[in-house]
Amino acid sequence: MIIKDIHIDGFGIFKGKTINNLRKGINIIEGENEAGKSTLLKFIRYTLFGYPRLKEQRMMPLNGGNHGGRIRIFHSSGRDITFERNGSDQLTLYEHDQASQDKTMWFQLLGNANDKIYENIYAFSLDELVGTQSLSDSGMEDRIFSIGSGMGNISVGSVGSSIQENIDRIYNPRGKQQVIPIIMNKIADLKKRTDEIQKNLPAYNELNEAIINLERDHANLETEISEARREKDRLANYLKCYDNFIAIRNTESELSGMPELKDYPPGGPDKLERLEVQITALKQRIREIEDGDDDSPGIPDIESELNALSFNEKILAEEADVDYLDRNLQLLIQAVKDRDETQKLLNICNIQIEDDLKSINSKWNGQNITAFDEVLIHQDRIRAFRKEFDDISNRRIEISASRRAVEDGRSRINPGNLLILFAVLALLVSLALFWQKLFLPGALSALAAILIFFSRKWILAPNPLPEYDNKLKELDNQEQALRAEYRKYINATFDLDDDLSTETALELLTRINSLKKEISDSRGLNSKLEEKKSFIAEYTSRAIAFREILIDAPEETEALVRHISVEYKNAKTASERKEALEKLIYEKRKILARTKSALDEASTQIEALLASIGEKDPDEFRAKYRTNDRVISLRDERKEKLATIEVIAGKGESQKVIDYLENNSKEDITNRLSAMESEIAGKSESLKVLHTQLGGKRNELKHIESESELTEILTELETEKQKLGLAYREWIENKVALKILTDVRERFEREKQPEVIRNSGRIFSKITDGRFSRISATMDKKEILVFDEHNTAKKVEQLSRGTREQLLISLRLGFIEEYEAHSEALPVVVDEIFVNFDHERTIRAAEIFSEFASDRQVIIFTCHPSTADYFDRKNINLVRL
Amino acid sequence: MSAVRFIHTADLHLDTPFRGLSVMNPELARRLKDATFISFRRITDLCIARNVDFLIITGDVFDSENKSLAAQLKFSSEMKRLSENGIPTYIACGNHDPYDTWLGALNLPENVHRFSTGKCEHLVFEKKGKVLADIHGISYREASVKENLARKFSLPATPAPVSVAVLHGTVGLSVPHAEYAPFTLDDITGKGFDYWALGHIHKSRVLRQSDPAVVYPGNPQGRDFGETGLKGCYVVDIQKDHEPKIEFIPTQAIRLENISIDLTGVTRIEELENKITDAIESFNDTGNESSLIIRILLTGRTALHKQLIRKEEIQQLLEHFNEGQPVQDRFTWTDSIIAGTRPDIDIETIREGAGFPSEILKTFEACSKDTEKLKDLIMALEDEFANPKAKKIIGESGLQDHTGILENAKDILLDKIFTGK
Repeated sequence: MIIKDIHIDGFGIFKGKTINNLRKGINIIEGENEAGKSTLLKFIRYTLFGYPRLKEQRMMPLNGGNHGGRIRIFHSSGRDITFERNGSDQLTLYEHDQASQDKTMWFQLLGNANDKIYENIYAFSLDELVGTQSLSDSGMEDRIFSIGSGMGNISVGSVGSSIQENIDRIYNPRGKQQVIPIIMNKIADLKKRTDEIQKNLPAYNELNEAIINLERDHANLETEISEARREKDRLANYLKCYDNFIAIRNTESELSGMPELKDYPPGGPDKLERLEVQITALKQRIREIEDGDDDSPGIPDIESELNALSFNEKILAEEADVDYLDRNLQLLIQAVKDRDETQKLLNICNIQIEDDLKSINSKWNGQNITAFDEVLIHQDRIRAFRKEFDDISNRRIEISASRRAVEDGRSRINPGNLLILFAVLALLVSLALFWQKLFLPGALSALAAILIFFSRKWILAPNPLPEYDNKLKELDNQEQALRAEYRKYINATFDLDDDLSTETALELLTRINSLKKEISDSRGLNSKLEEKKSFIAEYTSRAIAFREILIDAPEETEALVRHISVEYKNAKTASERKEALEKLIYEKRKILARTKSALDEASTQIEALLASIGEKDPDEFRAKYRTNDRVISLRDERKEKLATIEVIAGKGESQKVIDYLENNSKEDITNRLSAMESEIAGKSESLKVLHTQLGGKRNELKHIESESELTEILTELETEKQKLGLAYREWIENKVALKILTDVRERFEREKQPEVIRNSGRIFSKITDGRFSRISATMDKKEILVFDEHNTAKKVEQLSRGTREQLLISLRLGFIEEYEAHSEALPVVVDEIFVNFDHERTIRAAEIFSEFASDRQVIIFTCHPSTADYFDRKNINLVRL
Repeated sequence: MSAVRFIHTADLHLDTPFRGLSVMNPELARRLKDATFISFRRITDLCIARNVDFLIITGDVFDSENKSLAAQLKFSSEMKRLSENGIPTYIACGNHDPYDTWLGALNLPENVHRFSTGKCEHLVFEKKGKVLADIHGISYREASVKENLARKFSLPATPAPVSVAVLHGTVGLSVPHAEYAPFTLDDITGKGFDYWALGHIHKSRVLRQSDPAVVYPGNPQGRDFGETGLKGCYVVDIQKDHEPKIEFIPTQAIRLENISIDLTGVTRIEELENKITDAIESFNDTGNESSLIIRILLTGRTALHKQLIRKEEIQQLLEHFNEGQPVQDRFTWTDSIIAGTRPDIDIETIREGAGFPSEILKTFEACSKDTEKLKDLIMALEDEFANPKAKKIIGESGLQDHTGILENAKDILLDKIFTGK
């Protein structure tokens, strides 16, 4: 196909840009740097093949306009179709004004090429050529080959090595770090662990049996040991009994020399002893009673003391009085003091009363005051009087005030006099009238005068003043009467004529009240005084009464009383003592008698005791008992030792023990004993060993019973096997892929390669102006060789840069030719590829391109105007951006 | 009256490892190891809860090859438990646990009966002095038994109200073909037993409902991705002259499932994640108290293909789904995600093109058509693998899925060519 027109709505720097009339053959698009050549190239690719996915690569319009545009093409089939694609990658195909979005048609139109193919085959730029130079040897060949095979930037070699890497990673015959060997190691390890654990199963049965045997041996040994122990204990017991055995022998021999056992009454000697002691004590007692001891005197002493006692008996009879005097002595002392005090107070009080009396009424004495009753009532009364007086006074003031007010209110002019004046005037007028002969008016006026004069009373308001005055007078009368009454009252009450004001009267009453109190106080004091006096008198007389029965009694009351007290006490003490002593003698005599009779009793008892075993002498008595006791004790000892033997050796065993001890010496027994002990010790050691073994085996059993990892390990093992299988499969798959890759590559080269190489060789020869004749690729695809005019083979790296670039262009063009043998021709777009060529080379290249463009469209982008010069201007389409 | 109730299970395979897992994880390993025991424990719990008269275990209690001591000991303790609850157990030894491989020192309680070998043993079940059932069975003496053991079974002269036969072996339909006590259905139907308690086939099936009932309970816990779905035991009620009641109760601790997810048209990874989550959810509805281990196969042509064939992508997805899983009481573990998707590359365009890639494509297609050549190619490459030990583990037969291998190789190559990765 051929691009005819390009219209850009908005794309990168372009807005509303149109390039028309592109055509078959060479089209040169010339523009400055940054004029948008690359942008234009992108526009062509995107519009034909699709916009890239990433937004930032889509060349959004920078200057406005709808993102996208149109390209009109002439298809090889003759169809005229416009590709319209917008920035959102929506394609519309227009043909004869029919729009369609048929993707299939689009594919077909493009000959099923895609963007990658286009880029790799049809569009090449300077970068690519330059870039290619910088690769190292095999990489470059490969790249060239790859470019030749249309794979663009992906090299077959790198694909192959990548797959080989996978293969090597998984498995390598000598390698140890690969996936498979590692898994194998893991599997071996797991198998080993499994084997270890699986040994447990057979071990279990064996262990079980071993344990049963050990247990049996253990039990047997235990039995042996306990039997040996029993025997040893028996011997040890016999040994323990040895001393007792000897003791028994001794006892028996002693007994044999003793008299028969006699059946004496028990406790004879004790009884004897007791009686003897008793007698001694009784005797002692008698002595004490008679002679006295540390605690109490003997009877004679008491008697003598008793006789020496004497005291005042009389005073004892007066106990009550003594007591009274004693008790009240303090009271007396106090009463004396009180009496004197009270006397003083009384005097003072009475004097006061005298004075107060006089101030009230000189005629009065205390009687009057006492008789004065109802002070309160009098007070009220006097107050009532006062009130009345006050009322009257107030009333008076009131009335006076009113009167004054009225008086003041009245007019200065006396209305009564005024009326009289009018009457007189009227009269005068009438007279005047009469004078004038005016009789009627005169009569009228005279009538008026008369009327006025006589009707004064009715005309005039009554004069209130006199009324007031009457009232005042009345009040005065009232007051008088009241005063009289009051005076009468005062007189009656106080027996006074004086004109007492109510205040003074009240004060008098108050004074009377206090006087009353004073008088009563005085009375009180008086009686108290009397009381004290009488007490003192009584007391004193009682005390004095004692003087008769005492000698050397003091005079003074207090001292006397004390003396009495002392005397009394002495007498009392002595009397008591006498009583006590008498009692004591009586008691002692009684005891003495008793004791003597006890003594006799005891003596009799001793005689009887001695006689009970036919003795008279106490010592003999004792000796007999002693012997008998010894026999008893020996017999008891024997019994006891036998019992001890039975305790040690067991009930009923004593005879056996004795027999044995009769026949075996202590030494023998001791030797046998130690022999047994060592036997036991030895066997116990063995038991311990068995026990440890048993414990060990049991632990082992428990240990293997508790093992629980086996399944986990087996599962892990299975998983590893699974992984192994998967890894193996992956290895095979990669090997298959590699094999096919290699095969195809070989075949491709063998079959396809020649065509491409031939084409390219031809072009190369032309472009180098015959300096190189052909190109060949070796079968192992490692090298592309070029042959110069002398048919010398040269490797690519031996070429100069310019020649390499020519080679690349040749290869590209060669491949395009080959490609187009089967597909729709697409416009070839080259971008600035002549820049590194010298003049000669540029001419050559231009020739080649011109030839190549003879039935294709070639679009050349350049920023050098000179580029166009290399072409036949007549045959090119030059567009300036 | 005179009804008996029992639980029929078989192929416990206690302590057998899981096979076919791609990835291990310590917590997962711990859960896996306990799975068979948990399932068996649930069965014994069920025996007690349902108050059964006895328990029948038809063979393969453990794998003698594994030589696991723990398996036998744990089994013994469960037997003690049942015994304490007054429930007897009748066991026929199978090909994996033949009679002599059981521990001599194993103290099985009194009312646990292992059928003897050689000839059929007739045991009697009594309750309160009344004979309620005859139980006939025979154990394997060694691992491979080729004779038809079914022929040795026969009813006694005065049979009990209910007769049960316990036999570990393969039932063929017309012609017996397998190695383990092969017999036909005809062999057993005419004998007059009420119930044939079979074992050996791991997939649970009721071959006949009655007259007689013939049942494979299947193993109660799946051990590889070929044993998917619900696994458990049968609770059986039989009464004379009545149709037996046979009820399946799932008891597995871990359920295995293969899930296939079609990604045609799916463009975003989140959609893929949702599809996987939905698929997992659909298993949670079945109300079984088990955890789940799944293998996911992605199919279809999708734009995500490029991502999915990258190992890191799959790894991330796996990690995402497995995060925090094995620790939970009921966990869901994704073992692997196999991207069976095809790239969204326009194959047509490539093929129509004239480049190297097109040649590659054409070569692959030619190769896939010529199966013989493909086989030769792959076998030749397999020979280049020089580690005999590994080969042995992988399997002498080598890789079988030649077409699949070729497809994957093609994807690897095309991927590298077009994306450079």
